[in-house]
Amino acid sequence: MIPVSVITGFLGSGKTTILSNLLRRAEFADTAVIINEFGEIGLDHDLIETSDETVVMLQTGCLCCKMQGDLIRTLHDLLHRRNSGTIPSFARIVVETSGLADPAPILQSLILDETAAEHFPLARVLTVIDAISGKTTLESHSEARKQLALADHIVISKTDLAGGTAVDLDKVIRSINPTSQVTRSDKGRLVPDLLFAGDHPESSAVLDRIQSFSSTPAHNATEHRLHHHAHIANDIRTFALQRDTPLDAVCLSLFLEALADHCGADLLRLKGLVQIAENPDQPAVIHGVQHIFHPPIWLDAWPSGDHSTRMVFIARNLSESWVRSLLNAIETEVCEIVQESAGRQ
Amino acid sequence: MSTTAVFERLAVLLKESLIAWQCRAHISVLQTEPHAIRVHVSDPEATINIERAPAEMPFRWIVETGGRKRAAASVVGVLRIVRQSVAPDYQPAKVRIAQLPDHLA
Repeated sequence: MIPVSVITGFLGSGKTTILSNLLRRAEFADTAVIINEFGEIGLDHDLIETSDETVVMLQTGCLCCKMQGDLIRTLHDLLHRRNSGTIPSFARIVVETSGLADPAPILQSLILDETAAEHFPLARVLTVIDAISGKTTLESHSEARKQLALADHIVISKTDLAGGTAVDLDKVIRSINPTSQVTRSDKGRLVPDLLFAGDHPESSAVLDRIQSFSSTPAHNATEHRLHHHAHIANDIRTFALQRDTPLDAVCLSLFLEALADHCGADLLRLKGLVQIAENPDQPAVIHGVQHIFHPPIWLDAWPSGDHSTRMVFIARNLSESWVRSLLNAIETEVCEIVQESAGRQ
Repeated sequence: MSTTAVFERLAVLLKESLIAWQCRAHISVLQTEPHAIRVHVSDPEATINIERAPAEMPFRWIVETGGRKRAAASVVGVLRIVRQSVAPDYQPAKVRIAQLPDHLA
């Protein structure tokens, strides 16, 4: 029996940071990871530094909508490869859902699929909620409310950045999920025991929770009908910019500034690997949620032979062509400034 | 890259932006010397004129709107001024740089 824990949480809540942090700990050395990303280009796989063989990317769609069969197949495939010795041994599996996933169908497959239930008992559902924008997210997105309602354990992330806003968030959390334990995490730190230690939830209790949330006013009939592509019904779009030529550092800086300026809360998530002209051999990892950006992280080397810049946007009411036009205009101007400067010398 | 290219790219960006802000407007790039971009907004009616600042100035652009001239250091600055002109309620969301998690720092 290989216990499976599910990490869920809305876009930009900090799931990958927490998971990446956990996987660096000795206690998590024997863990396989399945990552499901919403977006045409997956990056989380490149951003989690661990053994490649035990990290699987499910990228052809959202787990909650159409990939439940893929999840079960992937679990069995991992088990088969472990047993045949083609990948390192592991004793547990973590599934990281996409930020827009409804965890209910994923949990139902793990519990109701006979072969999955036999080999892969559900250990824990851990939901990450961002201390800064979590309250607004819960008010605006039914996916986030459902992720919270189905949690065995709730982690409030980014508490080091939030100031006093976390107090209000506690009340909202308790109104949606009054019983689960709540832990605070700053800078992505978390006690590893939260994911696997202790008693596993009873399958019947998990199914009751799913049923109970589905019948609340927060998840009324209309919402349920719309769910299957609430991602689209809510005007949330995902797209990627990919380019082979490096980007000047100043262009990236102006680009991020303009995105924050004009998109604000509508920029649900931006993440990317960027080839910077001044340092092309080391990719810069960029992360942004709404108007909050982390300073770029410089990786020691490119994770694969693909050295192209890849930026994934998940946003509401944001046009891909506007984003491309913005970057084009900035690059053209920076290029002109460089040429003017060279002409003066 | 010539000045013409910057004007053309900025005009495309402004056109895309005005659509995104649901603002009815017409944009023309004036191929005069010096080049300029003129934005005619229909509701509320207004004209915005965008020109390059003289070379001796410490900024690159001058945006004239409502009889007032404002300076911008880059196309990003021009975009912000144009949006403030067509959407008075607009408040730019300043970039906030957050601290890195320990293990990434």
